[in-house]
Amino acid sequence: MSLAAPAALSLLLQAHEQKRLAHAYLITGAQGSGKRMLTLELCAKILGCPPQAALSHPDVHSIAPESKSRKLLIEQLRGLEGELRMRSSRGGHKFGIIFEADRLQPQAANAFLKTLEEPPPNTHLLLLSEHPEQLLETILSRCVEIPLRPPEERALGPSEEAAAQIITAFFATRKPDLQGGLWMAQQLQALLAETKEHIHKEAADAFKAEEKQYKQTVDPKWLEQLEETHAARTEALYIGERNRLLEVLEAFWTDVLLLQNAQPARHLPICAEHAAQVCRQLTANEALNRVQAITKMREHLGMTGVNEPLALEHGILYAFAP
Amino acid sequence: MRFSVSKDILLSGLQTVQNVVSSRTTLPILANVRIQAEEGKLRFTTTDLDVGVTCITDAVVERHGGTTLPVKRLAGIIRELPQGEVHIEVDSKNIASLKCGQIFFKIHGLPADEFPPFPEFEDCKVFTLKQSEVKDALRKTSYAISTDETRYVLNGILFSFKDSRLTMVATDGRRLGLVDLEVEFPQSDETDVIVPTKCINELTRLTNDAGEMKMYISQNQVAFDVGTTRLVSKLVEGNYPNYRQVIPTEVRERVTLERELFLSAVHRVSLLSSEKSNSVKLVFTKNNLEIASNTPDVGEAKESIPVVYKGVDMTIAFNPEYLMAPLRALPNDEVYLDLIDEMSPGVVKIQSPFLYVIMPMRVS
Repeated sequence: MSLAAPAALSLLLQAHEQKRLAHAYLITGAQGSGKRMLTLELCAKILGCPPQAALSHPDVHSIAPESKSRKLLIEQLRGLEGELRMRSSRGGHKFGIIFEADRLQPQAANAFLKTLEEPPPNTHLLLLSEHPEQLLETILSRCVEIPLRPPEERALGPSEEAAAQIITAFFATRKPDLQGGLWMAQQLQALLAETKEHIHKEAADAFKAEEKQYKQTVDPKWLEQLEETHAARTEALYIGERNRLLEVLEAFWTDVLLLQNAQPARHLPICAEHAAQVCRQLTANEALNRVQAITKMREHLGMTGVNEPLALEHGILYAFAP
Repeated sequence: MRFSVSKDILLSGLQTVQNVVSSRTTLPILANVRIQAEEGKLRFTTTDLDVGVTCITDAVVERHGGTTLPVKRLAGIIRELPQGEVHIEVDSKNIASLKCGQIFFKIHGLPADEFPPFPEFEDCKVFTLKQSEVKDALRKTSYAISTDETRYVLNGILFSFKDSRLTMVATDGRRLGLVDLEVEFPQSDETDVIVPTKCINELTRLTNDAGEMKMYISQNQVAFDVGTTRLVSKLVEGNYPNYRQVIPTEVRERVTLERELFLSAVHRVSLLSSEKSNSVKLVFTKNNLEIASNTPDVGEAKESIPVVYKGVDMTIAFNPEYLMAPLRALPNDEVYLDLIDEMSPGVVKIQSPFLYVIMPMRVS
């Protein structure tokens, strides 16, 4: 049973009052369901600081994916473990937070199991994940899961909306043949390129601001590290954004499948009309194949050394113009 | 802020604190040293949020104030200056102008108020210790600290204050070093704390062969005052394992060994101990000790040294590194090796309250 974030918070605080707060929680839920907010509020309430300052509290230690491939690396976990092994600086509880825990590499996850099973005294681990199904069984079994209810209706982000518009335009103006499929792949690539440029620009601005502030004041080695971290973080952001776009495509085909089974389309309402139209033209098996094509494409893109435009074209052709 | 101070004093102040800064850090100000100028005094502070050091030196202070400057760079500059007075002036933008004779440097710093506050020690237990004793005890135990991060309670030295004694213990599960020191304190102050390795390394550097030092223990932190320098560290979380139960209570054979002779013999023989088994055999027969090792397909080594031994013939194997470590750290001419049988731990002892337990290896 999933909970709304505020309800989950009050349950956790109750557990804390009764000194029954578990050593590891896995907070799950779709994007926008309030995982981050819940985490910060919980830390803030227990440590007695404002939620926006929770992450900089000396007894809150957090890691998020930051390598180029948007992975949580074993070094990051080692650092986190090291910090948790010391007594808290304020003498109370201390928290270890892992954002996007599904990005834990198996190697890193395995190295972390011992700490996850039995963290040092007064230590609570909070793992956040949108895709708990991607976590290792051994991680899942060591955490208490708190599934958060997704928000009733989430507004699409600007790039997600652009992707939905591409779908609409495709069905409105193109035929599901080779040309149409290639056109769509091109549109998506253009959108991705634009997104990438946007992210790079934002990151470059942020880096410049930070660089300017510290330019002449710290060891040059640190600046090099900062640059590397920034490059990796930018890449991680881009991959996250790309995944979101692919999810829009997936949502469309999921809707088609739902319609075939006499369920209302609910994942991508703005394309519902076209979904209904496509639904009438396809058999259940065909629709299933389309969904699988998208899943396959996401898998391909997740591998290292894959040519992005090629994988995208291949996937789109199979899903929209087989 | 404006002050002048001699090059040597400034350099020694910076060298006292600069080891603590870590190269990899998310908070860039931690690569800096905080410098505070007060009445006739300069205070230098560095921290990596786990361990922090602060020290005070005399200086001619013309204007009070504080700033932070990159410590590695500053120390690098000061080291290259000729002998003489160094004048430093820091403006409101934290730009430091450094003058020494005809030499001029300008260094950019960060505001002092961004530097993390140094922990206060109120309401804590205070112990007075002799520097020479602590330094000696650290040398005799610290090599046995575990570097295995999965057993984090062993990543430090246990300071156990009990029955008017301070017991310092380090172990990695295969060997254990222990030193007892006589310390006066009220019974209500009995306590056990684990001081992390990084702090132990700093403490070893700071302590001298004479004088007293103070140790402060609060709920979560520990501080050491050595002269005008204060070292502060977080404590390791958790409880130290019951080390008493691995110390053998009986002794069947005591062998007296000449430390240097034994050390060099073990070292020589260990050259041919195989990487796989990594052991040297000690073969005791009447009034003789033979140290032996062999690596299949490479060769073997043997060395005999005369000892006083009247017990039953016995062969016991040890990891040569673990056997040599205490021998290197001890100053004594003679050490005792206490044994029970082939499968029981051996104990290295000296005249003073020290012991070193070493687990034997299986002899095939």
